[in-house]
Amino acid sequence: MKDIKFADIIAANREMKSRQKGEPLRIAVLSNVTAQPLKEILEYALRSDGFAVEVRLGDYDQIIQESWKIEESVVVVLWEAANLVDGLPYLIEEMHAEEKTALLTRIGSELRTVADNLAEIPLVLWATLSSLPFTADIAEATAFDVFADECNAELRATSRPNMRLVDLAKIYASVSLESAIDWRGWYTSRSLYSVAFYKAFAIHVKPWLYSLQGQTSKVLLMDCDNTLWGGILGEEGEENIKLDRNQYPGNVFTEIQHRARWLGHRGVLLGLCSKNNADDVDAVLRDHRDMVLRDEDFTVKRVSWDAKTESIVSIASDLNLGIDSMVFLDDSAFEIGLVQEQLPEVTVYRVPEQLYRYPSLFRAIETRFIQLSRSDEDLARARQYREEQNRTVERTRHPDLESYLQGLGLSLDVSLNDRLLVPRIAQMTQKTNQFNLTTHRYTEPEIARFVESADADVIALQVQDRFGDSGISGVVNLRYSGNICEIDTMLLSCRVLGRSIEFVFMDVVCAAAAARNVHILRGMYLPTKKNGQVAEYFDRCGFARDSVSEGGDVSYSMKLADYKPFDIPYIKVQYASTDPPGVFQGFWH
Amino acid sequence: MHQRIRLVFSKVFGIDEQLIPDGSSPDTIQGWDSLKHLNLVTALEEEFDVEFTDTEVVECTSPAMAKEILKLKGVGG
Repeated sequence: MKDIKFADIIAANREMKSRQKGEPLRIAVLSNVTAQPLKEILEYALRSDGFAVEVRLGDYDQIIQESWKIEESVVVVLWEAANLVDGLPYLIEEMHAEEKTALLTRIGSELRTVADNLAEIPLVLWATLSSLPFTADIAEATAFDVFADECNAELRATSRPNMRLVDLAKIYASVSLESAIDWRGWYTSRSLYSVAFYKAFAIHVKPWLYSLQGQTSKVLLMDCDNTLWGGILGEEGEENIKLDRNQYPGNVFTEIQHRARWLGHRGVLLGLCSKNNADDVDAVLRDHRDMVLRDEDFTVKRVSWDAKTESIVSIASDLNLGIDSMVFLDDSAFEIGLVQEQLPEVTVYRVPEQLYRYPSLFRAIETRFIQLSRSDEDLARARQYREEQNRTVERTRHPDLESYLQGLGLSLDVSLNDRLLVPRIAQMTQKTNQFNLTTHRYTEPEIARFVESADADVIALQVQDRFGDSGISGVVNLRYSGNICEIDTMLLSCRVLGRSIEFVFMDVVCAAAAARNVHILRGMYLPTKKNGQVAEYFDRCGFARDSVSEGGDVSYSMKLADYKPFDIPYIKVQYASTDPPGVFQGFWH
Repeated sequence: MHQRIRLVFSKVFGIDEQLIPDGSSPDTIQGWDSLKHLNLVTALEEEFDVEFTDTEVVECTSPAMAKEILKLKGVGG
């Protein structure tokens, strides 16, 4: 991206646009400077990652006016400090205190107006205000510096859950201020930024956009030797591996382990994928005094002499996750190359030979795991996956799956329109790819509207068994119109699959619909690359196929009276006490 | 240099190279507005690693003119 020329970006972008398929992510740019190259560059950055996108540039200096009528899912706000008032960078030096206060008050209220207008937009990327292009060469703090700081304080105070602040100083720093600013553009056409700036801007904001589309990585798989610690354990022995935080390069590995552990605490699943003797590695995890990461920090371990590609495939299958949610970190060019070639969906990173560059590489890896909304449940997720691992071990001991399931003590807690669950439900619609009939992505405000609406129900499922609580693992959004109920969204976390819970889920849906005096249930299956496993779900539940579109979208319907509950004896269904009394009454038995 | 200039024009305006005669101008190339013009200048500057003066920005209205400007700036070939 850094090295591609602007003319080539324009040409390649035009070509990719003509091949673009599917509903594009729509992004609006609101700006009080001419931000014209951002359209080409941001589109190019996303399209070259296979992402369908359409960027619209708002009219010059119409941020407030345009903020009333946004139709896009993402808004980028570039509200440049230097153009808040024409000539502000020098005029402000001569302003009286009262003038400055009045101006700051005006700007604060404008920021709030726009933030309010954009409150329902799923994602707003808002650039901070910076005086640096106009003041970086002046040693003294200028009035403009102070004013930009005050505006940023207002901006931070205005911040909403759907807003992310894009720190311009970080972008200037990544390309240098000199190459970020286009002075000719500024003085001839109020176009302050260079192509280099917009490239850095696009790279900087990309992870948030991926996260919005549910494309965040979920698992970090790490090698051991020269990745978690310096040196080769099998050759140099436990006492000689480099992990001393007071020496180079032990200090580098210590930092990496701390950063990895922090990722784990934020809900990223950590895995070991190493060719080593399992006992040797276990001994280091257990006993080495300088290790930061311990056995319990890893959700999965594949320490063996098997090919790493096999290990990765088996890890994905054990965790019920797609190969493309894996990030693989190793120091060996061979292993990196093998994985890249055989499992191209895996994102790979190679530990740099200059170990002092390793921490900055690791920070880049961290951005792959950015999540827009993080609920407490996320933090418990790694633990839940560990419990799932225990269940898998148990499963191998039970020859008969049915009797295994009977012994699990499965129960489903069902809650209806629970406001407290809105963040977790929104997050599940954003992240669930496999068991997801329609893959509609919703934000918290959108889910909140479903919950409040008289013509909709939001049902959440929590799954428990004797190994633990899986947390909120299933979501269904129902819309009612007359005696028809449309299943707008139906999804289950892959963690709870393989236990017939998906069928009891339909029992619950029908109970909710029956409580609303519904006669007809309608559902859609919208195929994606990842949800093939639910292609026959409605058929198996007894729905009839009404039509199939060219793209493979299938419309289903079923008379509620014809539904035969699965009523699986070993799954206990309990309705949360927060449910309005009697909602499910009369159907469930 | 001739070829490189035409290639830049072709990429910026999305027109086949063969269809860009040396005398092409904002009047004969569709969509050559002020914003596209800035794209063109930025792209030419990047391609030849030069910085146009204000006058050159205004004068650069055809592949032939671009060639003249670049020659005067000492770009060879």
